[in-house]
Amino acid sequence: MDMIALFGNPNTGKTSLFNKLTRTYAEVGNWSGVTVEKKTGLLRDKSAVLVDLPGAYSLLPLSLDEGVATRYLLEEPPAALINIVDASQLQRNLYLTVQLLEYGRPLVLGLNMTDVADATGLCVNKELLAEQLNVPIIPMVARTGSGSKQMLATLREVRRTSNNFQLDYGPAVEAAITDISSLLTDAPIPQLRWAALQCLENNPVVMEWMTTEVQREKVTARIQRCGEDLLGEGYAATPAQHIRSVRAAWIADLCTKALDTSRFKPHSLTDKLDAVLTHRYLGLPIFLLLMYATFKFTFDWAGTVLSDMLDGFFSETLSSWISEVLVQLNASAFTQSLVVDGIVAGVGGVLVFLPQIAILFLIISVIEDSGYMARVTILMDRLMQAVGLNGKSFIPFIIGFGCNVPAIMAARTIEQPRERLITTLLVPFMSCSARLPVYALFTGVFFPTHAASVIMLMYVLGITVSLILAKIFSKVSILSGEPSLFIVELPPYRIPQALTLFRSTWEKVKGFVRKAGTIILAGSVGIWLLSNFGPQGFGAEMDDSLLATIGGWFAPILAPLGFGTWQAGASLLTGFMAKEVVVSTMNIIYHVPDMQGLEMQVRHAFTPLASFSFMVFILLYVPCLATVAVIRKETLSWRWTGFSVIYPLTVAYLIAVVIYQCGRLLGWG
Amino acid sequence: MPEHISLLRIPMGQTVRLQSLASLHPSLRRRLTDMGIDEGSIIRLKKISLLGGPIVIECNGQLIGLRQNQVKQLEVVPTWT
Repeated sequence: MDMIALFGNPNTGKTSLFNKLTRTYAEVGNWSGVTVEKKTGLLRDKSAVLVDLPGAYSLLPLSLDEGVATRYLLEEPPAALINIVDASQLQRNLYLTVQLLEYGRPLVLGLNMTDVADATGLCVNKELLAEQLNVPIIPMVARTGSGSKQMLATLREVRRTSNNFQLDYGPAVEAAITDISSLLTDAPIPQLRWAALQCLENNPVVMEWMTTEVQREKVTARIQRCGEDLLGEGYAATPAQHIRSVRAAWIADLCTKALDTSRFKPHSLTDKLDAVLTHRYLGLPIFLLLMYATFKFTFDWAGTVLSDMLDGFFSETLSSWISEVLVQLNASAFTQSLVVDGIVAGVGGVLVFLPQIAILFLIISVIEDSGYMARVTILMDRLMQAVGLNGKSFIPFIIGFGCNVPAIMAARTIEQPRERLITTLLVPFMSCSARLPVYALFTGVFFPTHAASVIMLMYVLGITVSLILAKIFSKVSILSGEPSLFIVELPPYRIPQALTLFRSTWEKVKGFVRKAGTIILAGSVGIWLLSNFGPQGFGAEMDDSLLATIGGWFAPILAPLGFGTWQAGASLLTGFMAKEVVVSTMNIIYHVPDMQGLEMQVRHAFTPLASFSFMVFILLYVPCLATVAVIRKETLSWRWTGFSVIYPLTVAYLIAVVIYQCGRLLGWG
Repeated sequence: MPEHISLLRIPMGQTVRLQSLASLHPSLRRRLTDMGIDEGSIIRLKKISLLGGPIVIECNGQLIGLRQNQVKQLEVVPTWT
């Protein structure tokens, strides 16, 4: 089946258009507001597969995620391209368009945000633009879906045509293009001219893609000669600079003809909102207040009420209904216990937190979709710079509150490798939604009147620890060196769209439910088996069970932290699979029918101080299995992966010891 | 020929013309040119954060945040002279 690739600058509405053009939504690492991997979906008319690529200003990559687009063009040449262009930022967007036109495959230009352009008084002459670029242009508003039907129809028509766009770069460069093209003849790409131009621009992805070292050397030598020729022609520019300026001049000329800016007036809503939200003094307090409101809303107001309702359903209605069915079916006592005490208690005990998690994900989606996220990087940059990172590291941190896995992938938008690595190592300290059930359980028992504050304290502690460690890391020689850089585009504020919010929240909630159905289900069954299996076989008393033995090994080590019980040891061990399993384990080993019962047991097993120390330990102790896997994938190093497991354990242990022992000295034990 | 001054010396909200990007870090310069901001572009200083934090500039209707220490040598020419 044909592949159609979707390109565009960041924040031009690629993902909105993707959602409108496809019915099925493929799930390749696109959790956050930033598309970090290409993701695919079937077009609504089922005629081709659409590939959504990370946003890029040019095919020349600066950060890891931008390389994805260029690599895709080289390795899997698509049948046609869609280039989505922000009508209110035409000049800038056309730079990528020129590079894509040179690629030689049929292209459709989606002129997006025509509503924004109209509102700011910009007028684009579409006919002239289409004629000059020699491609079909579809005016659209991707957020509402206007224009997407026409896009589908045009895609069907255009796919068999070819595109022979060419700019004249002058004799020196043109001669070099011819020579380099002849060196690259073995390539399966539509236009060798395009590849030659990318070489002349010093595109590292294209240079890497060349098959042999000899070829690379020949190309490099030819580029150098082209530079000398340019000097001979009287240009004081490198081939890359020359190519850029030819394109820029052509685009500027096109824009003076096709763009009427005489009635332009700036986006006033953004100005007004920025006057408050990024205010010199008030910006940061407002951000903190918004975060606090988020926690208050998620835990005290909406989430808890819904969770309690769900708990009632699982522990009473569903449990007794399943028991009845099992009795009717004449199931053995073993099966009955496995299903009710193992699966329903374990999986249900985690699923009750679904409302809180959904609300948290929804709020993160609102932050991403509204344009506020980029402002947060501005607010945080000074602080992040002080610890050797940059404001952009804060985006992975916030996404990490939802789930650490996509957060680590979002770190790819950070340009500097060193800052990216440090951010990757620190994201696991961000308290993800899987840790929420643990906090919710313990604060519910010990700090019922201050739940939101205690939980927020956990988030703040996670950030504080990671900032301190960032400072330490940036002093360590293997991680220091290159200077930190910071540049961020602040998109105009937008009112988040209900459908987009619903879809992205749903994707994330689905991920959580799927985890409940796989890892947590398997974990619950495993724990139930271990907790019923003892030295004399099946049906052992819980305290003599295999689980108690294994947990018991850890109890003495954990005693200085205030929770030296086998139950705590066992639940921490199983929590490595996924942090939600900690609560599932407790539900099973304390063998309680519902939330109230579990709370009673926990009240006996922990003191308030020990529960606080336990929560801190859960926050910091080790990334979950899925996170470890993604750290391995992103760092491509077993050493850093191993490090990312071991050092948090040490940090968690030290901090929890200090908290518990100091607390006791202060008489809080 | 008017004098160049550092971008950070101009009054908030004034428009200036970028004179030279030569002193910028190469990656930063490339990112700016990718965004269509190059020598000759007209920019406006929109915001300066506390304690030497980032500044926000406006160019062609887009807002861009940059660090003060990265752009202090950025030479600009006031458009009001």
